[in-house]
Amino acid sequence: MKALVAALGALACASCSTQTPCTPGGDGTYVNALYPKLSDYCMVSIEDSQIVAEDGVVPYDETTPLFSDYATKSRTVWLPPGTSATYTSDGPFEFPVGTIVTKSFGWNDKWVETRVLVNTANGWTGSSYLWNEDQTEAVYQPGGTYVDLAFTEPDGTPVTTTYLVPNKNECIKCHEDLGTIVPIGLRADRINKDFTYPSGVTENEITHWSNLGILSGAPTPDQAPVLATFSDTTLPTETRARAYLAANCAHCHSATGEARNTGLLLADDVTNPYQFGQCKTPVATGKASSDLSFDIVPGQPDQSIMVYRMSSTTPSIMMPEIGRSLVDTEGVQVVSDWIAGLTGTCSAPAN
Amino acid sequence: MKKFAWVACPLATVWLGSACSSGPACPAGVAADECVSISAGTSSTDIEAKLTTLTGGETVVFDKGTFMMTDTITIAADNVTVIGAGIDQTIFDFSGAVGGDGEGFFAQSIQNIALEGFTVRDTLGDAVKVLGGTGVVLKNIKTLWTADDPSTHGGYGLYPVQSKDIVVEGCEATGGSDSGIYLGQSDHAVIHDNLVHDNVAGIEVENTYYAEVFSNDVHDNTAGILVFDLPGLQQLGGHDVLVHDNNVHDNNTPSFAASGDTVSLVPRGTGILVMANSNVEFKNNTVTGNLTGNSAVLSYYVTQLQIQDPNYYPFPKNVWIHDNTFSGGGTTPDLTKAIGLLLSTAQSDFPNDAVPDLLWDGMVDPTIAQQDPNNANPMNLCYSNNGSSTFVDLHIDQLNSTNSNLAQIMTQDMTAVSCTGNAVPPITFTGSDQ
Repeated sequence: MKALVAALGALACASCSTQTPCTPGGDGTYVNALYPKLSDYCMVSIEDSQIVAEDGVVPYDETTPLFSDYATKSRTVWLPPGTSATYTSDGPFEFPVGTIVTKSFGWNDKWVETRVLVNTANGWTGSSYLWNEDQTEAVYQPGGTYVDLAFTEPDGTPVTTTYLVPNKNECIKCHEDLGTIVPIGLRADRINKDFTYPSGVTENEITHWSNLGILSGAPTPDQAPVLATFSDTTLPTETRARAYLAANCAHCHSATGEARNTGLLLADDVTNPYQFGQCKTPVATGKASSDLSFDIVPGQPDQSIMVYRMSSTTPSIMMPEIGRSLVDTEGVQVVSDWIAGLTGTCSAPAN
Repeated sequence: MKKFAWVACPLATVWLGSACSSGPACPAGVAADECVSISAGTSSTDIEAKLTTLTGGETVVFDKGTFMMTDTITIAADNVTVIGAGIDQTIFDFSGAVGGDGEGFFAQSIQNIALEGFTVRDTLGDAVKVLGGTGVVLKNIKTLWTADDPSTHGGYGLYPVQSKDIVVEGCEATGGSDSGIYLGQSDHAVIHDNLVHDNVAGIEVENTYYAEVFSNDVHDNTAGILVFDLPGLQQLGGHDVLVHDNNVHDNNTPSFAASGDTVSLVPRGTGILVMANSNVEFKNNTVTGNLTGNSAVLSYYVTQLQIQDPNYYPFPKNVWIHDNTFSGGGTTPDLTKAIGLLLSTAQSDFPNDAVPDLLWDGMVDPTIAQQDPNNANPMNLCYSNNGSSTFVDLHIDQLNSTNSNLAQIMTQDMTAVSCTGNAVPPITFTGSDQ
């Protein structure tokens, strides 16, 4: 009924900003069972092809986001009234039960899916909601699906691809911290940046969250860590490359993530070159190593498994394993440039 | 406005709970509300949607038939059993998979998973992978690839990694471009009564503590059974591996691993191999017709790779190989691999021109040798009761650019290593932390 009212409203008033009033969190039962429709959460809606956060829901973004086939992304966080997250300088903040995080993915002014991460009494749980043609509602899609996309890449290249909406059981692949699901981007170094809020005010996100009372214990932004901004082309290549690897790889390639068995660690604060792949032989890579012997060969991006796998779109070879179907040419270029500038040699294996 | 094309798959009915009526029957003793029955013809998306409803403790029963999968089958709940109608009866075919990680079955950081009675065919990547599981049973599963070019096959058939309390039993693993059964960085595992053939490596036990590998038929792989330790991983120092009563024969298939894959260093025609592991016992195995060599005990130095992990121990130590039957090995070493080529240079110096059944690279940990300079067998490598088998100590530490004549350097006198070694106890799962 609610959806019908919303749909009629949209029909009658296609471009004005009238919304059906709703209460973030709905009736609160989402901490026990996922809502069947995205609108039940009252986090976001679509107006004029834009994701709009409901009142009290805080939009945010990250210094360096994950590459997802050039998707436009819109993120929000909401905490139950009167609660706050606890700041930590390392890893995701500690959020109270009831916290709802959303991330919407769209192309060409059309939104495809909104992923919802809910902190329940039993920990975080993720799910995806698929937007309808009319962009009026998104419905829970537990089994995942494939969506054919046709759009134009930033450099003007037209592209068609098949985008994978993950199934619910796949959330842990990226969101794992030794068996539990955790948020990835809700951490100091990722949100330590300015953001222009719907009110028109531009403010550092850590400051803004502290002022709103949804984040406690945070220092001033200059005292908090920051992940470099990959898109800032004035930064040194190494800084950009390590930021890129941190944002695109380190959620798995950490001591507690899904790729922990590989021994390859790609957070930006890893200082041991062997641990971030230099002259490191692959372990369980199988044929994805192709004819290459090391993750990174200093000075030789085209001899480095890292570049080979970032440049692939073949499942089982491509890295990251999921989340993209296209090659991020700019990411590959910057990582390649960084490797090209590294020095040293790797001893060749016996064959 | 740029063009936007959008075709979403139809949202099919998702069955919840105990709707067993139109699918296969639930096993006896499984309550209806803990049974998820999946009938023949159910789509990949619907299967995945059903599996997202698991909350723990369910038994998922698949009908007889071929399920055409487009994405990985992911299990994310504890205490789940998945049962098919048997090998070649229930078949999961991944030849049409279009996205994801390319795996067949995948479970991550779960307690107690049992997968039983089905075939997994033509995955782009690994067929069955369990990462960080405690209590893993893989039983009566067949993994295979059908493409003519084996180098296009996925890497691993059955692949428990960083897991504990594992049983791999009654499976058939064939065609893997890395390994049929690959146990990595795990703790307490039993691999028995499996048929493992036509992979690059048959069975690999890597960086693992407490494993027992027995009564497997391992043939026509590039290499049969490998027990080894590699650097740079979270779990180092593989130890306590008991390998017994296996039939390891004719593992002479030319390697089809990618040349960058570590397993590609292994020559075709390798029977059993121990590298850089401690406390390994090989007994009562029949090892025959492996044409580079029936057995080898090696240090990591044979890879000629630089060791950059300060916590890594590159030597094999406390290895006992006894009461095995060896025959027909070593007649034609793999000349495409460094060690095969090296062995071939001394071939006419070996009995019957065949690489000896018992081969040791002769590398000795200098620290141990220094502490105990009078010990003729500082690595405690022992061979006993291996019939008429032959032996060589390659002394590769003495091979260098000025003296590369293996025939002059090696020794075939096994006095120092003819001894009774340390037994490795069989695996028990009760009180598993030893």
